[in-house]
Amino acid sequence: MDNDGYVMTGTSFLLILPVLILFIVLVELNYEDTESEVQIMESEKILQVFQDLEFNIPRLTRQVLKEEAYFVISSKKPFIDVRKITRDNLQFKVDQITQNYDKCGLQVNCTVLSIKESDDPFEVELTSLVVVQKDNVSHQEILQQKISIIDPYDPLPDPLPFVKCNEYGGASINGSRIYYAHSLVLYLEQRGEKNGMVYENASSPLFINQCPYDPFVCHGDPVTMETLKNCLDNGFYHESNDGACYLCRLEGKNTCPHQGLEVFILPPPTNNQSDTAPCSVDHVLFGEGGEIYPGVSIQYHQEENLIFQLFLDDSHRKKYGLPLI
Amino acid sequence: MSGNDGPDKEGGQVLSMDLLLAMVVFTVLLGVSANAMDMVSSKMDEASYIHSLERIVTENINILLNTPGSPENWEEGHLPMSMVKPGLAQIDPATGTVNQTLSMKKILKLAENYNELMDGKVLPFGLKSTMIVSPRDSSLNTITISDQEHGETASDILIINRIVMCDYMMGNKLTSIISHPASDASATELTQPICPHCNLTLNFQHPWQEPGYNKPGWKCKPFTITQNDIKTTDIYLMTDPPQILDKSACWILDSTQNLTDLRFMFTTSPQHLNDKLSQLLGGKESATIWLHVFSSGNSDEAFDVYIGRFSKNTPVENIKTQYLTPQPCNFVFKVCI
Repeated sequence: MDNDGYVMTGTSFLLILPVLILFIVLVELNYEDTESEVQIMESEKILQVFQDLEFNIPRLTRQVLKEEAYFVISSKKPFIDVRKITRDNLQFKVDQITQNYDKCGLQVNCTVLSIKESDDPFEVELTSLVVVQKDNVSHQEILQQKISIIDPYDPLPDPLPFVKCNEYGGASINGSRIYYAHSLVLYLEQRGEKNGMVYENASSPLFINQCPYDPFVCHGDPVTMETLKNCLDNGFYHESNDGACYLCRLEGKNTCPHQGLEVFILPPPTNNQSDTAPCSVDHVLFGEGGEIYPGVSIQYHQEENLIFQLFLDDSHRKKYGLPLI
Repeated sequence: MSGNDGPDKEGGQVLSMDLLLAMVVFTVLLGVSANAMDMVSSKMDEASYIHSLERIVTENINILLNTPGSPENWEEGHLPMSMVKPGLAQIDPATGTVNQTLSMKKILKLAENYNELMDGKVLPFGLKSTMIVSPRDSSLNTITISDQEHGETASDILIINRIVMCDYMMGNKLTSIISHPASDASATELTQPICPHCNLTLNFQHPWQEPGYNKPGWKCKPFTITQNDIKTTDIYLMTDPPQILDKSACWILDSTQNLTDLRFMFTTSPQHLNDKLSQLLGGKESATIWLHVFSSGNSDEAFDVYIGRFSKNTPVENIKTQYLTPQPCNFVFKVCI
């Protein structure tokens, strides 16, 4: 057998070899490019999912708080540990959202770690752990959000009056106000308070709205009391060291160690001005025996013979810039 | 060689013409092939380099747009620029989280220190680039952050175009009254503040303009102002659109301690409010002022009213409602590779 032909065959193979190597390198490069593009797209997708959750958590928290507040209003029973219950309820709602991402091949896990009061009583502080993963790319972050409880389009109600007056005939809702009928009088009588009768058919605001008249001393207008009247007409809530924060209100507490809220409970207008009565601030009126203290009448408006008044002690008068007793 | 008979008879075949020709052809083919391989290899190297550079630049620009940078308040200049990693995203002061809006302060700071902040941090050294923020609203100015000449040696140009929200922050909104129909009328009705004029009589009284009703009425909203605001800024009242069709529209500015029925008509140009607010404030350090706006309630003539504060002596042509809220813009980045 003549073996001379192998020289040319071998040479031809050597000529083709670089082409083969080039082809393999080209395929490899193309594969690497595609891999990196896929990773970039996955990374962007993960970031978008994370931002979606970051945007949605405050909305869900307000929704959970609102549902809990209306549950307290309808059942008249406060929560025992509202922080734990809110965390569990929020976790349930968040899980409903995160489960939907499974269809897109994304593993999203958002664990609500805690919900607590904030330094600003019109906010709650939420901490959650968000883990988003797709194939080999993952993102993990501990989110700390301060969530406002003020929503002009979907305001949160104050559940405290309904809990406190439950055993005394209850309170009812009319529009954006709470009406106490005879319940507040009975509540005060049970605690041995005199002059509680002025609160027959008293009312207070239903929704939490922040008072724009800040600093509070500007409520005291020496001539017309118009600022105080407008504040009372609108039912604005004020920051208070003594009043309960929103989470503690869901537990039926009128005071708490956190920075809290207070609002005025208004006696109905009357023909006869009384001198003294329990102080017209919610955390005082809803207090237990020793926590209720008297206030002296302050007239803020008059229509014909009808006198609009509320009862305030010196410390509250000073806070709101009103004339001292 | 062919005529020799002896032991060397086959030795001459080493230098046969056939082999010589074959070697020539082989050498030529080998040369051509080596050259082709070299060319292709160098092209692949170049393509791979450009692609890798493009990826790095694209990723870094995404980071620039989506993060506030390090430290988060780097634009305030507490640290030397060499220690800063730039990012343009704005931090929401209320929640402390990054929102999807670019901060104008950060953009202007980046423009001032472009090379120092970009080279080696966002872009590899030596690349020429152009960065522009172009508002969708043509009445607003385009911001050129960098416009470097393209080198003639550049083999490729990468262009990144993103639609972003940009907060011009030339003015701060103090309050606004939006007259366009609300999506949830019942919720709006519940939270609409009660105007201090509600108990007054005759012309002084301000009947509510209920949402969804095509009736004339008032919309009133409080805002807080301080002496410092009046001293250090120019405060303007503006409408959107600037020229309103509602001929009955008017506005009042007062406080609960100084209720008035002094009505003013809207004008096409922004109205300077410092003197009026100073009068209302009197000697007090701060006060809550009410803006009352009357309109016909006709949805075809609906307009929004804004009160905003701008830096002292801001040119009138820069007093626009668009500068009070984030605006959609095209972020265009061009880099020569």
